[in-house]
Amino acid sequence: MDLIRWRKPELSDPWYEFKRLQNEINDLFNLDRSPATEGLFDRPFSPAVDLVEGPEDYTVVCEIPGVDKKDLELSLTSNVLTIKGEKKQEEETKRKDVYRREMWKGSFQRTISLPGGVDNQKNIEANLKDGILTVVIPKREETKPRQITVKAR
Amino acid sequence: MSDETRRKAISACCDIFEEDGKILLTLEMPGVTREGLDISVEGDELSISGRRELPGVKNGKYLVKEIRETDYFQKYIIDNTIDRDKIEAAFKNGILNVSLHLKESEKPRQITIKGE
Repeated sequence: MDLIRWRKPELSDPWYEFKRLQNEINDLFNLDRSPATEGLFDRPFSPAVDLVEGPEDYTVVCEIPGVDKKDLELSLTSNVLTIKGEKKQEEETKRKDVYRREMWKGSFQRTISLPGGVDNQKNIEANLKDGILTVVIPKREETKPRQITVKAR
Repeated sequence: MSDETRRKAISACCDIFEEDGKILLTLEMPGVTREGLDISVEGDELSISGRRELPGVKNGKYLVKEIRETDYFQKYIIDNTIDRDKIEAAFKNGILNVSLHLKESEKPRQITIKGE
């Protein structure tokens, strides 16, 4: 038997990029299975969000470059997390010669409906570092997975 | 090369202004740390790269995934009007500000008129 050297699929498969593109397009239409991440009052410009369900908690990661801690407002009502904030414009009036403008500015709001079982009583941790906001929301005791030990007789 | 260095790089959202004899570049790089940032000038090329360190999630499944796992890289061609020795950069809250100073000889000069 010959030994064949293992290679990364993206290096050896010429269709890899096309498959990836296809997956990404398919994901566009899979929205119904994911929780709602847009609320009625959200603005068209909204920061990108990740929502991860762990065994003990939910982690929400949000990309908000250039937003100060004091301009940010987080609130949790039952299982709906709202991230609200404002990206300040700086000294815009002084600037006359604009070559390129790609960044968006202004206020934004993002509403994320978490799946049930959120513990409102417990401490919710929120951290803002280098333009990335991380919020960890613990789950209620009864929704956490439990280990069941099997006794042998 | 490790997996992390092979990650795709995209160009960051960027604003470019000119102000008081300076070209100001503002780049949005959320998740990039100061250590992961690299700005270099080589000849006419100004390259800016930022390695992202996203908060990793150990065990869990993604219910929503909108943040792309990419790094930032882009190159700009700068012409001779820019002073290579006077390039400043500041980084705060995921926003990188680079200021490129124009050479003294390229700045508009006020000419005083002598009169009787």
